[in-house]
Amino acid sequence: MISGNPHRGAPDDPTEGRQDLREYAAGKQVVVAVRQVSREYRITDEVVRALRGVTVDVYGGEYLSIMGPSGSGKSTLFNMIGGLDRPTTGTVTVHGVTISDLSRMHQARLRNRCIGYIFQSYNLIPVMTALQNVMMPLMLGGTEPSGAADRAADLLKDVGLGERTHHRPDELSGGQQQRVAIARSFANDPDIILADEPTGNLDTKTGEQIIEMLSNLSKKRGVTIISATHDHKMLAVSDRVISIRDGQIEKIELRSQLRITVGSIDEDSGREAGDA
Amino acid sequence: MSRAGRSQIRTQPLYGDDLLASLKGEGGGLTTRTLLTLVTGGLRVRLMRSIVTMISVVLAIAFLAYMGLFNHVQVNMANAITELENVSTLSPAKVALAVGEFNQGDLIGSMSVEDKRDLALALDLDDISTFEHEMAGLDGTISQMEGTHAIVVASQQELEQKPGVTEAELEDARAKTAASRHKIDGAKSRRALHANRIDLGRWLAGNAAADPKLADALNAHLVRVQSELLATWRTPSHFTPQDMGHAEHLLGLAKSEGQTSDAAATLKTVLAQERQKRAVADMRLLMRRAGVSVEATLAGNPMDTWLIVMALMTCTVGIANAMLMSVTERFREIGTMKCLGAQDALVVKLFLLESAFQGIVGAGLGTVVGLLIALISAALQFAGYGLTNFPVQQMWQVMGWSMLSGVVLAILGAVPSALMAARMNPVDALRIEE
Repeated sequence: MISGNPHRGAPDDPTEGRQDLREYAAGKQVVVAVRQVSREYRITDEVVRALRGVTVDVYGGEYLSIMGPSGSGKSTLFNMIGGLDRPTTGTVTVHGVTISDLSRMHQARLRNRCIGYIFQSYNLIPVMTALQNVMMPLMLGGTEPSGAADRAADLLKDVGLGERTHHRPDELSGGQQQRVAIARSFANDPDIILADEPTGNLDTKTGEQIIEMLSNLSKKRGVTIISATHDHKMLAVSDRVISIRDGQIEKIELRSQLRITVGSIDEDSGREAGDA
Repeated sequence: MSRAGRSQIRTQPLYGDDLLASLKGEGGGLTTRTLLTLVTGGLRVRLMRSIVTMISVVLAIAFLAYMGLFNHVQVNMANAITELENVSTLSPAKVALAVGEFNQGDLIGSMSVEDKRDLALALDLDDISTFEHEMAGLDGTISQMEGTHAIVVASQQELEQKPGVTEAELEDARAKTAASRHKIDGAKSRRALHANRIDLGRWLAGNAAADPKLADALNAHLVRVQSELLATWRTPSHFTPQDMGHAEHLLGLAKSEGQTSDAAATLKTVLAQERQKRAVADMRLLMRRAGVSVEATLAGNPMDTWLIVMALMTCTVGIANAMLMSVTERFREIGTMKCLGAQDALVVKLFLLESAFQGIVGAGLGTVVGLLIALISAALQFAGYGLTNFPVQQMWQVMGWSMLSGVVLAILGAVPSALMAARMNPVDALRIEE
């Protein structure tokens, strides 16, 4: 265990006072700043505290994975970073803009321009072709249709689906659908890609291809990738892994520290992650 | 991965206040075509439910259009009844005078053979089947009568030969013989008339050569028909529709021959009024049979309004329910679109358009179905009167309003679910899948 007590250090310090994290953060731009964020849900009379004061920074160009068992608050934190949910207390700042200060309309524009989303179940719009699906964020952002169509066709070619632009999602395999989703997430050239268990519904081989595609795109375009995942292959390519438990950050690990920790959690997966 | 080129020309991301300013600038939106793809695609995917929703609109709007049109039919009929009932009838004295005058004219004498033939045809004198049938009966009756007569004559002769017969007894036997002879003569003259009529009919049908005698027969027949018809004008309710047709034909002929035109005109008016009275009686009967009161129709029927309001409300609730299901089924799609940057207004527009589309198709079909039902039931319940009183002028108005209310109700019904979809947070919409 390297990270230790999450309450150690100043509550506003995303590095938890750790020297290794300070070194990692040095010279990097903060694209998402999460400060003292807590989130409470009211389910009938019971108040569920999904997040209990989480403070973390996401740096430009990094490949960040968030992991944790279900019910840990992992998804809640993930949604906070993506601007999909509002914190009960605390602030989430994307590119220097505090999300809770924005109106719903401006939040929608922020999601459209600055963030790309990839979902576990692809979430393509079933009535539209692959091309039309990739065109959606472009058109919603105001790109005129012919320009959007050209750009969408280019993006589909880049993910290897140049031949299948006019197929509907139900005519595509899972891997192909996820590649369309990746093309769609990159449509408006966002700085942040949020990938929610992108390999969760895919077989190992296809999952590997998707991971490779994401990490290549991230490296080539300097895009920040934030993924929620259980997949150790994904953890292995991450620059940093945040583990969440009981609504708090359990530990933050850099890639160099990863193999040991993963191994200590699960022998088999650890070996697999090491091989990747 | 040939994106290296593009990634180098990537613009530096905006930060802080610059980003805020850019977010507050002009935003994009979807083109109409993309919206339509989403809407029609959505309808196609949920085809069965779209059809069921549309059918509910079709039924409600058909009911509305039918009620509107049929109410107009009833109002028009009630108006026609009051109008016709208010026409003042001619004085009996004037009618009696006209009948007398018309009787004196020699209508037939001045006519050519062709005209006579046409007239005879118009009077259905070529229909001789009943006469032929009666002829056969008459022949039998006459031979029977002649048999009886022979016995009567024989018994009279026997009585005359008998000694000691009183004058009174002889007188009685002679009277019996005379009565029997008279009966035979009557039957024979009837037979002759029938034969004439049959000859006339065959001539009219072109089955016999022309014969001046037949023209005389026609003349005799016409004089009889004419006087018969004219006599019954005093009590017009005894006319059969066929009689009235014949009388009108005669009057028209009299006018064209330049005969007693004033009298003919008066009699024509009498006939027209008689027809109107019958029409009023018919319409009243038909309306009573249909359970419609003329007076209540003219006063306006609040029951119908209530029924229409109920039907439209049911339809709206049906649409609201269908749209709510449509939204519930599409939480994930809505959430995804919100993640991609769809504005709340766009989501509202999407669902209102979907419902409006169902409304337009449903109301369009419903209006046509309503028109057809109104036509059919007007024809079935009020026979020809239903169609002659069909509201041709108000038809487009009624259909237009039905169409409009269908579309408006479809949109209104979709408002709650569209607002619900728009107000959802993307995270809530996406959470449903898990």
